[in-house]
Amino acid sequence: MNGPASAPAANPQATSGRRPLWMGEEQLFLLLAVIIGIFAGLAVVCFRIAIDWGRLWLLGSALAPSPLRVLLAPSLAGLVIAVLVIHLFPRARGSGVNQTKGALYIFDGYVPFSTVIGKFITAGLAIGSGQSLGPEDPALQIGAGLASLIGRRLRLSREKLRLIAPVGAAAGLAAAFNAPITAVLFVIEEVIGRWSAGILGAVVLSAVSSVVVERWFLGSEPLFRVPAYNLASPAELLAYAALGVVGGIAGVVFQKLIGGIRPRLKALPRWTQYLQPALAGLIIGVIGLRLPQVMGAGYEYIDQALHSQYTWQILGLLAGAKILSTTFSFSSGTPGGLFAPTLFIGAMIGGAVGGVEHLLLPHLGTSIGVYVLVGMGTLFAGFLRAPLTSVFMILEVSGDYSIILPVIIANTLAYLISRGFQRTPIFDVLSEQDGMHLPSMEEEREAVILRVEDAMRASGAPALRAEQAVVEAWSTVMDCQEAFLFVVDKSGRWSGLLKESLKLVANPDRPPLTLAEIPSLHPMPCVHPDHPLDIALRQIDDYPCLPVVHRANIRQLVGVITLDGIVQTYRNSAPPEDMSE
Amino acid sequence: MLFLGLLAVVFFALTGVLVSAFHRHQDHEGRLWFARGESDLGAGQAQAAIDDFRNALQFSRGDPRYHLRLIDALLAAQRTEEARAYLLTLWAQQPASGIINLQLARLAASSGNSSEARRYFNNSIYGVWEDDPMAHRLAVRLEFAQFLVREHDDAGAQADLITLAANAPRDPALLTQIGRLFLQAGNPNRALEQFHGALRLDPKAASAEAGAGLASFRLGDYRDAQRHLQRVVHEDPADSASADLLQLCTAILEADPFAPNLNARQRADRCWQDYQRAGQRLRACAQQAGESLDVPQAKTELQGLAARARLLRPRPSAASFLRDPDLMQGAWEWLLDAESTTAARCGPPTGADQALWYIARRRHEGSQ
Repeated sequence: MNGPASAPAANPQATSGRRPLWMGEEQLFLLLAVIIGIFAGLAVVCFRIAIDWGRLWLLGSALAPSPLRVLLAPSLAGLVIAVLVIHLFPRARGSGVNQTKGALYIFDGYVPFSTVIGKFITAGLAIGSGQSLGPEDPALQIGAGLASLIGRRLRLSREKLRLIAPVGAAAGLAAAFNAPITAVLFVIEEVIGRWSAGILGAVVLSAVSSVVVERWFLGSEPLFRVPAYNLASPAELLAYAALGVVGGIAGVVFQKLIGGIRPRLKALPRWTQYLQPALAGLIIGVIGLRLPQVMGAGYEYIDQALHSQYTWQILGLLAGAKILSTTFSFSSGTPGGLFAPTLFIGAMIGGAVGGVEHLLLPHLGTSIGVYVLVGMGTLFAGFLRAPLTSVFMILEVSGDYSIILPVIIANTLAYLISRGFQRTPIFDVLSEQDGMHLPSMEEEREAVILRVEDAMRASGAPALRAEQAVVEAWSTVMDCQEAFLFVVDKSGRWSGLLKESLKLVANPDRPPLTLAEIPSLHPMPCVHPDHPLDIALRQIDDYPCLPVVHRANIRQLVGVITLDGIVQTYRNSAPPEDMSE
Repeated sequence: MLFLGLLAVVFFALTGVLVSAFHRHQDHEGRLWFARGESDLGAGQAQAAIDDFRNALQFSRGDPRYHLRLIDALLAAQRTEEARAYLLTLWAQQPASGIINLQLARLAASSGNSSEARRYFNNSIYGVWEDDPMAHRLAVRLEFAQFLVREHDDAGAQADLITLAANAPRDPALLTQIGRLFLQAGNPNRALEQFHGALRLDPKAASAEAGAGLASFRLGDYRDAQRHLQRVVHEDPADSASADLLQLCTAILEADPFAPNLNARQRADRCWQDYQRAGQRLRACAQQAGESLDVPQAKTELQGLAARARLLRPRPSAASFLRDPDLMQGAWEWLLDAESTTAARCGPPTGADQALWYIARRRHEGSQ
């Protein structure tokens, strides 16, 4: 594990000595989200310019650089990057998504500022020199690191400090993608893993403010100019389904390659790590001599593919070459992200499939650019395994709601195929390779939720009415086996009492009482059958059992849930082997 | 918090400096590549120009000139589909752009998609032009009219040309061009107005003079046509088309028995000469076709014409034409049929026969 042993301990109590007195921590957190968004946006703008300027210096200004530059730039930059990563910025390598998750789940929100600097320099140099990686993942980590620094300086509570890194991550990703919705969804789906109003508000605010800053400086032009689309015939959906299948298979191949080659390269002697990024750069340079499109993030080539500027054969070749070059770049430990290469590969596969379908089914007539667009989402779903984000990303990038049907069909198929052949998502594979055992968001999404109905049993006694006379109530339940009885009043409030207590007051010689007048009657909560079991566990407190009542008629008793029943249900649902990650 | 705010302001300012320096550098690179692209395109190296413009575009994607020149280069390299896809994307972003619609109209026109071409031409005419929209709209309208003429949509072309003529600046060359299009669209009257307008602005405009000659000829005003064409040929003897037309005009004017200012004798003489000329043409054509005209029973069109000529009573002669104006009418009907039939069987008439055909047709149209 490469976590910092020296991570400063966060204050477990909510103490924030540097916030204005009139401001609560919740308000401060939201205000901070905006400030973090501004800082992250500015940092990402500088990062993108650093990459572009680096590219101009290292590869020249032509889209197809000279052969000498193509061979030398990524190789020599690889050498420099290796030295920087090994000696100065060891945490700059690896996935920024996982490191942000690590900050959230392991290091109390701590992301060293040196990582921000390291990512900025090394990833900027790598991508600018033509290594086949993207700027989004580093941008995400730069955002997280800045947020963490600001949070620490303002002495936020541990809970807020943990959450602040994902807030910064969303800001960084949003600015890099120029797509706030995608960034928010991705961070919620893949980093935080849960929706809650507090964190969602902060993530949205930071993403929006960073995009505003980014657009202020770089303009609001989208990453791609997307061709117009309309669904001419429902038969087209079959073509998109085929694209989903191909995208899913490509996602699996890409995952297997990275998941297989990366640990092997990491296991090689330490001195080879000085050479690995350079060798990866050389391989990419050799590929780049014939296919310069694989170098760098490749957004301009996605744009060209969107406008049908390649034949399907070239598109297929580019997809394969990009898979190889990205595998080498990323596995060699060169800092940089997988988002842009994923989009590139998906786009090229989409275009190739579209081209073949044009040959086989010329009457469909949809522009290949639309397949390119759908293909991007397909690999995003199949490789990065973020199905929701993948759909919304395409909608946000295209600005065209009408494309939603093809995107949903293709992405769902790609996601299912990928899950079928590769159980562990790529981010989880990478975190395990890095020695971090982070919660798997996909597993959490897929986990079976236990509900009250799984643990409840039928009641052995009827529910009593609060207005009932004690004697009459006793005659109803005297033969029942239940030791605890439930009473409901006319407004649906539930109470409980021991059967023995009822027996004591049910003496015909005593003045007549109703159940509501019994002093030992205790109000108690009730649960519904569909409630998660977790809620029942928290509600049951010291009560021997809880009433499970009907949602449509809250005076109707459906069953009874006990602590024993809850524990037994949890036990029964536990997996057969240890799953402690 | 105050410190954070100050830090943000400083960071913002520094980023601004960095971004503006980078944008300047990008603009510089973009201009270099654009200039290289223009040079390559000018030298006919379309593929190199495509690469250059693409390089330029990566530095300035928002500059419409770069996009449009890339499209020009794609079209020059015969990469029509690529150009179309590119244009459609631009169009989706700027559906009201005049130049993008015009390029799409040209592409649609070249691929034979008439309805799409008309739609884009109209979009372009009423679209947004950043500089000198009036001139651009006139130029597009002119191009649209040329397209409609090629499409043989004479009514549509005339409607467009009327609007164009009403708004056109007083430029002799433009008026001449509009006049020629009116002629092609089958409206010699309006064409003549345009040519006259051009000649008023520039009396030495040879092209307008030639156009006026042609328009007058189409209108049957051979005298006026002759006058215009004589000036053209006088100024430019090498203008063979005008010289040929002038010759035809002269032949018509010399052969026309219905010309004003002829006395009855002259009219009858001309009619007799024209009748004889048509007879010679009929006999020559029959000989060329290997048919004998002296047959008791006519079996072919040529023989039928000969038989009709034999049946004309009184027998045509200069004297009988002078005596009997109705005979002249019958003879000219026969003459028109004879010239039309021989034209169909033996090729278009030339010289004096061509003049006769024009006279006969004009007379026939006049009588109808």
